[in-house]
Amino acid sequence: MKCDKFIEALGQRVKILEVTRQYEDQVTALVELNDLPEAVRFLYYDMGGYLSTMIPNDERSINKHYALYYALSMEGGKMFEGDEIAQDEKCFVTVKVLISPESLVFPSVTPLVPACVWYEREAYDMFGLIAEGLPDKRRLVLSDDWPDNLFPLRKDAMDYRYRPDMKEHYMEPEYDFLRPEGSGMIDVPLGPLHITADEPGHFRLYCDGDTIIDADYRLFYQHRGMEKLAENRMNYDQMGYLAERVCGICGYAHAIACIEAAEKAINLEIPARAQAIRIVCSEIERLHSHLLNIGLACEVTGNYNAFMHIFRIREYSMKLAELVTGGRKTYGNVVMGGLRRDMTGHEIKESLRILHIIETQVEEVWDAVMDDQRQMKRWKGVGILDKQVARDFSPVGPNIRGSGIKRDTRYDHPYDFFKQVKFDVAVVEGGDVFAREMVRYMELKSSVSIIRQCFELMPQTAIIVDPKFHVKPENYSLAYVEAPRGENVHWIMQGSAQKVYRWRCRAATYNNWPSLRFQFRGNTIADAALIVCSLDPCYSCTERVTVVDVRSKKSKILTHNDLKAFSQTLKNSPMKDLK
Amino acid sequence: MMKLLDISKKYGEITHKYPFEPYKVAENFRGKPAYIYDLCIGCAACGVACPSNAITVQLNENKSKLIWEFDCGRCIFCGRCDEVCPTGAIKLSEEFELAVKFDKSAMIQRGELEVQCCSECGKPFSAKRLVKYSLECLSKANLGEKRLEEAKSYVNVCPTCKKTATVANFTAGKEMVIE
Amino acid sequence: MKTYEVPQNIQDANDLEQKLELLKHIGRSFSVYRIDCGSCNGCEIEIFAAITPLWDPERFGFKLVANPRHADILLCTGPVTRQMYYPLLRAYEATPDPKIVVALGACGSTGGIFYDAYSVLSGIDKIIPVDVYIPGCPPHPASIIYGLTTALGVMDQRLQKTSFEHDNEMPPAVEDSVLGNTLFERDLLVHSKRLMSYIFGRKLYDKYLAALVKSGNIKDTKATKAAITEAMKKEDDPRYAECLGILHNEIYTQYVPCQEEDKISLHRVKWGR
Repeated sequence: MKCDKFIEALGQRVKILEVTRQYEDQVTALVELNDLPEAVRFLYYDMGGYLSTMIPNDERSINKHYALYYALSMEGGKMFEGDEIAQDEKCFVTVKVLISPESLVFPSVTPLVPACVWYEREAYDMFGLIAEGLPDKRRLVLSDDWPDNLFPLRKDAMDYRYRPDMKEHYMEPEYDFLRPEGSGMIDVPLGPLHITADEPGHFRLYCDGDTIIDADYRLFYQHRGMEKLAENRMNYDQMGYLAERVCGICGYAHAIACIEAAEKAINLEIPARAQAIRIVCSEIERLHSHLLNIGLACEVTGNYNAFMHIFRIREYSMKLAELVTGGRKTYGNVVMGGLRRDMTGHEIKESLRILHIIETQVEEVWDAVMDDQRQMKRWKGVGILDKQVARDFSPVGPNIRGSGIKRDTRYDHPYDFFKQVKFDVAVVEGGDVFAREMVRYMELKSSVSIIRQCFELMPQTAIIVDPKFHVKPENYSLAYVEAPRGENVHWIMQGSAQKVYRWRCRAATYNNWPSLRFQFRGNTIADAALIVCSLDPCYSCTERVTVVDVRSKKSKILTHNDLKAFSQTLKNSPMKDLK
Repeated sequence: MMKLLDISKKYGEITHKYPFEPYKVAENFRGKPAYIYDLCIGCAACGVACPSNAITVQLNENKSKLIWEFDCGRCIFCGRCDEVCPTGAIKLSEEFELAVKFDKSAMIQRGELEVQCCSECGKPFSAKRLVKYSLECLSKANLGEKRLEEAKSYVNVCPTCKKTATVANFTAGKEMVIE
Repeated sequence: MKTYEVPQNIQDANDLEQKLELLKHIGRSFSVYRIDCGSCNGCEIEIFAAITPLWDPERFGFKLVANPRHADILLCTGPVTRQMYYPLLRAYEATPDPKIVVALGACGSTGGIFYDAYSVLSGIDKIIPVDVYIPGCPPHPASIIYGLTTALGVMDQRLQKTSFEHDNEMPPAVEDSVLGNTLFERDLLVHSKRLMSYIFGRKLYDKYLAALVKSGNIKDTKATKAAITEAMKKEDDPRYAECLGILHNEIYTQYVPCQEEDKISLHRVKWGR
């Protein structure tokens, strides 16, 4: 069986108390609390794993303990040619520990595996579990005015509708940013309100002159409490729609990941046609998301012309989505057991026509962009993600593929119809913005080909299974989907009464953020927006920037337009009159 | 740079004329749910299915009417209501021009249905239309004369009274035979 | 729970009369500042799609600005998360009076699917006064343009409150079964939905029943097979055609005793050219 090899190796390192299998490619090993860091480190670095997700869970009603699940995707380190596990041995190994509700303390894995840092901070926020040895213990998810000692995801903490009182609006609490040591540093806060289509987030850039020395950020301005909502108000039929609204751009990938986690937990096989249509819709989503990002990467560097053209083409992909799902952004067609919207022959024909338009026009515009030497100069050598940093922080999607690491869930752990579809994983060396945009362009082309293959092989089955299956309380499973920004991993533990006991949703960008500060270092402020953009979390510019020169104790307030104009033209540095 | 200008020239003007000319959305676009009051039987299937609770089916304050209410402002346009409605009383339309000015209550649609009171305890439990519809369905379903007669009485009993009656029958040792 | 109270001076400067006055004057040139109060980005992307060449709202003066101090209209999305409550108020107070506030999307209007979660405050209008609501999840770019032009008075409001109050107590009519067994229709409808989803499944069901009735004698397996095959040939959409056959093979044969040869053979349709 898959995974046995890893469990055997792990067993020689640490004592394994129990092994359970969730799915053909997923096993969980229960280890002693003190062995946790070593077990995760061993699987991560020695056996070639990447951290997929970490799930804290309140299992006091099941076994009187809190539990932590560190899920690792075993696929090989991929740092050099041949550093990869054989295709049929790739799997997920989960390390589980139990934490007693009296002590609430567990040894932190972060000092050994830096990729765990956000997960362990979140474990404290939501459950009050304390990671001993964690270097960064600040709040991550909950708002700054949230009461201490109220941990929303504990089962007995509060009603899911409970809203603690707000502070007076002029008393907004401050977040404690990590400031690097040294003098002569300039603080550049960006956000949380930005101008264009992006989510709120606050960045603090520490600069010396124009060069960024370090950065810190406060995100999770959008924490809405979905996981608690799903545990309380939603049944399985409704959860797909909630998951779809985790993110407006790669929402569909979340919806299928969430529903597939529930399906995998009870080993439910969905009809082949439903699998094919799920792939078609998620690839349509990739088309519009990548076009959006390439367009924005042009816009941030001042190439408005290309931006408008790319957005014009993007409208075709939106039209395609509207045609096959009835909605431009939210496809709303996933339910447990299959799908709730079929594709008719007429729709397939029309889709093929639109695909042809997208394919030819994208090529035209990309060709024109590549021809532009100024554009290339702005993209190349900026925001480099070092290969070793990538290995340490488990980033996903075009972000890691642009650093020459061949990580793609569709290829590593083929799900649904990907077992039958052929495609090349887009990998580009270099790690700069150009490499990431190149990866996205290559994926646009492969997405078109994947959709065509799905249409060709479209099976003649029903689109939903006979609804005679039963959910089994306390069964759990992982599901993984390659969203446009990388792998989305959802974990579901089923509860009774058609509800989930615990739903853990890990979006692609969650794994990409922690390594961002390394990408910022050594670049100029003008490129900060571009670097954030190339990660594809959001496009970042600012409403207002305060520039403070610590050396001369002078400060200056910049408007967004000043910064944007500077980003686009590289003239009239806002720092000039401070020096 | 010049290449991009060539592309602009090639594709020309592409802007939609909307709002000065009507805009056509794709066939089967998921727009505003349209409610057909005459077909509604008040079964509340839509209210149960709705993920965002935009549709509610509740008794009014003095329990004289069953109120079906839809808040377009909360609707997420998933179409679950359309999918589950047994009579086709709610269907997604292609309507997308939904903005309202100043008064939020314009987004609300409601229908009042007469309630059926339980023949045992006298409490309201369902819509009259639903009871009649169920009988109609049963009458077309090749049931025996006797079963149909029985049905006519038990459709008027509320679930709580049915439960009590069943428990009473069991504890009294009566056997329930379904022919 | 206590939230923001609009200060008296802002209230005074924002009464309906002054807002209407503003709308009359801004006519074909208005600046919009966009505030994301914790939305999923869907609405943002659609606003972005709405400013592309395909929709081009600059035709009627729509301009996204970078600073709330430059704005006439605040375009707010999202259910207002706790963490975004303070920035929203800062932006609101910074906007010059009188200001028009537009709540975009289901979340902006009422909190949408998140309306009762612990970390949100259920919509923009719970915090600040809202003038225009644009429902949709997310709204189509055309809806956004419609909403903004409605605010300006270019278009008229379509949606009105409707309330039906006179119940005639008449349930919808129930049709007779073609086979004399309502279970046949029930299974047929369930299976067509399973094959082609509720949208197309209902059409498939109608198509199948129409073809079946055409055969003349529904219990005659030879006649029905011929009728369905005929309907499949006439059908120009191959998915409907194959599903008509599947329905016949899987449902009809359960209700009318059939031989193996009464089943319809289904050939494979190729796509992708």
